[in-house]
Amino acid sequence: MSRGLRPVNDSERLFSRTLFPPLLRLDCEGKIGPGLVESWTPDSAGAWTITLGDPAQFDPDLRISAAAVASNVSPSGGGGVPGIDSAVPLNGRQIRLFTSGNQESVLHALADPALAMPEGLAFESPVSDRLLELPTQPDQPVIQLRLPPIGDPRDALDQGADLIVTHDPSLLEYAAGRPDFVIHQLPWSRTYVVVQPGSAPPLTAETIQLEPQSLAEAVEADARVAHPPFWWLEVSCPARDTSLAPVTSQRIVYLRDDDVARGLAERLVALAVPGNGVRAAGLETSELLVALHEGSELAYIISLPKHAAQPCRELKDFPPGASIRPLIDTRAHAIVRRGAPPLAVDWDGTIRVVRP
Amino acid sequence: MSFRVRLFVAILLAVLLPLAALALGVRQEMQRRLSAEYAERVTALVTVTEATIQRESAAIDSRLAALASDLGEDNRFRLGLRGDAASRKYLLDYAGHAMRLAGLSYLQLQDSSGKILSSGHFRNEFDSRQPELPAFLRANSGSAGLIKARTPEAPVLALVRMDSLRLGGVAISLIGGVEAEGRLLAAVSPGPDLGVALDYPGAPSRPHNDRVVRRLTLPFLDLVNASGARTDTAALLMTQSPGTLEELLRGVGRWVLVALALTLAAAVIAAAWLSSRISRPLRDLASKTAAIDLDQLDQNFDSDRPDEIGALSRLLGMMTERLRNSAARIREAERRAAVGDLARQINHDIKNGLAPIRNVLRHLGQVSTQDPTALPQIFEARRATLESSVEYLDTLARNYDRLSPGVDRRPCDINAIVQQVVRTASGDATGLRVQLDGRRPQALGDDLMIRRVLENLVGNALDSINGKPDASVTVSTEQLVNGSAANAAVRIVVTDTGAGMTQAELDRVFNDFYTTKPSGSGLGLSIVRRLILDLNGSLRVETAPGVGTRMIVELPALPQGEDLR
Repeated sequence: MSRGLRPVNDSERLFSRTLFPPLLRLDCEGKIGPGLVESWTPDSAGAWTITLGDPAQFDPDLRISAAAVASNVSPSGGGGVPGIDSAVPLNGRQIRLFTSGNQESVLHALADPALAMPEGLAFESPVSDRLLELPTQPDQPVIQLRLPPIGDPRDALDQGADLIVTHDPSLLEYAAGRPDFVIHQLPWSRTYVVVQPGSAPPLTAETIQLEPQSLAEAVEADARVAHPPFWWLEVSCPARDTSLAPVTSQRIVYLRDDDVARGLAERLVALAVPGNGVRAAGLETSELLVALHEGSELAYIISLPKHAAQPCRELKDFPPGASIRPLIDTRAHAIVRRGAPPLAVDWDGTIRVVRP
Repeated sequence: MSFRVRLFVAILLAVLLPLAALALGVRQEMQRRLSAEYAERVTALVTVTEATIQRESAAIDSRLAALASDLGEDNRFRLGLRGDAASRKYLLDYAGHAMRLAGLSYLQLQDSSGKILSSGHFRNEFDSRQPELPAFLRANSGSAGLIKARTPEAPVLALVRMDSLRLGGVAISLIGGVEAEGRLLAAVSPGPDLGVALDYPGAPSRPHNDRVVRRLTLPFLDLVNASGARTDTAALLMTQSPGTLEELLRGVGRWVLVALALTLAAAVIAAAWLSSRISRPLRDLASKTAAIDLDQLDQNFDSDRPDEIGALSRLLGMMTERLRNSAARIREAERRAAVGDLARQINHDIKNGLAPIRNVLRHLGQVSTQDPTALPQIFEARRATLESSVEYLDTLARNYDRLSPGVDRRPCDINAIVQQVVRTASGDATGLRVQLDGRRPQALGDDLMIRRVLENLVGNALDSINGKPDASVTVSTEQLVNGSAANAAVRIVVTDTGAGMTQAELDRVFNDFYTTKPSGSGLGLSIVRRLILDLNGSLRVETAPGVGTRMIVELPALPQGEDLR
């Protein structure tokens, strides 16, 4: 299973948010602002006509057309936005959205970054060299975005990086000693949960003596016990019509590159009753998505956004009847060189570069 | 079995038997030496393994001692130990950092209650209680212990030691070690044929073919067991894979077989060549000897070989020379005998031819004396006899002139020949009778030869009845048809009632120069038999002493319908 353009960590989220501006932006108070859509006009029939702005992107291959946006938001396109019955591209820049229900909530849903991404493009494709150079005005310096691994991040700071988004306490400690950098504490943006397929034996006190208070100590990140509200408790998404085989695996799996998820998985193993065979295993992104889709593992450590524009899209790969148990909230820190280009934080806590 | 084959087999055995003995000996010796070498290697392996364990234990001890010493100076650790929230993470991460710095693969700090304060191999196992581990190591303070411990991914086997210190009134146990299955076993890697394996409760089964040659025991603690920590005994097993030795011996065996096969092929070729080379002079001698005949005594047995074969060849040459001389003498004797035979035969034949003439002349003399007027009439009556005898002698002379009296086969009127012979013989004889077959049997032969046969037989019969007044001689002819026309024959029987012959006389009657008559040459019946054989006929004699003799001649008859007259 390809993850397409779906970002799975903070670095990739920063990348994709910079590469693909959402159709509409929400600020941290929920106010709607222009994104790729520069104007949106209601009509008396309850439809919205949205107009795309200058579609110029960093790479011509990554441009999204009005037809692609209509496909992304239309239910017939495979994804769809709740409240939108159909979407019709009127011309190369305008799309008419036929809605039912609350028109305002439809606009909020358009803040989902996934709706502005072209389908059929793998995430690795535009950033295969782990480096992206953003064109700016002719008299402005080029902005370079670089994905991990980048060696010791302290070396990156020493070598002139303007912005590093990190969970690493030692890096924060180092940056705190550097007067040319400012550390910004970002909002609690992710909640780590343990997901169990409905067919898996539930983690109970007999198997794992879960101590939420100790979980924050298990990770090398700024973490706290997960705080409500939890949006997944408030939605009811259509479940996949798939019956899963009983789970025999004793593995708690996580994304191999995600140190926080690894720490949580290991802590769960440490808290498990000895001798029951529970163990932790790190998987590649594609392996994890396949395993999650099939519901073949005992448990999954998954990072969910604290806020979701389209909750069901976030949960669409979860196995049917899955239980979701929140563990901890995490937040990243932005180490910013003084005088660097302006940054913005989107409604979901994702930082992005504001191009001049 | 020929001499050459025997020679071939002997050479082959002479080559192969020592070689096979050598091959078996080499294989046995290699097996003995390899086994001894294996035994030495096992002993060395045990020594190395024990030294490795001691060295690793000492290294672990020294690293734990260094860590304990350093820990006493670490204020942040001390603060974390006292519950300072800011130092809590430092405390939890301490073992991980220290483990990597010390080059250990297992490090765990526990307080006196067994609570894990910090773990290097399983960072998030903090606050768990494992009082069994320090107790186990204290009980085995003199030696290293093997433990099966948890890690996030899978259980790990570690060779561990323990050190301790007191910090802020808290007794702390430092338990450190190295991963046993990877690092420890790799350090004593003995090679492909010998192996070192860990055997402990719940260990995966070893290959069945491996033979345990030595066993070093270690105290063992299983911390992963579902029913709680359990103390037991583990062992470092030194195993030997029989496959390598067997493979080596199989390889030696293969090459021995290859060497034997090559040697066999070479020996077969060499033996075949040698046996052929050695036996060839004998075969040549045999071939020359087989070709020797009285007519072929010109074989050359000359040889310059100095050995026994040369001597044999020269002896055969001398023997052949003697045979040549003897053959020449025999041929000379035969020639002389043949000339004598011929002279006697000519004498006999001429006498036969002269006898009728003498009789006619005697008869004419008697007539001229007793009745001269009847002389012309008598002369005319006996003139045919004279002419027949003269013609006989003339023909005889021509035949001898040719010296090769060939058979001129023609249809012969047997009755006519019999009448002519009887007429000639009956001049002064009595008791001579004739019984002729009225079918005029005709034989295929030569008139003169048949006449000579009959003159001899009738003459002998008349001689046998001489002096017996009632005796008689009967000449009869008969046409025989037995089966096919090809078997048709003419039988002529001369029967006399004379003296007959004994069996001894009969056995010798056809021999040359055997005769019972005072003036006989002994060649008559011998000539008769040869003439009959030349005519493709047969001669049988039936005789009894005092009763008489039947001489039965059978000649081939002229085929039916071929009367040439």
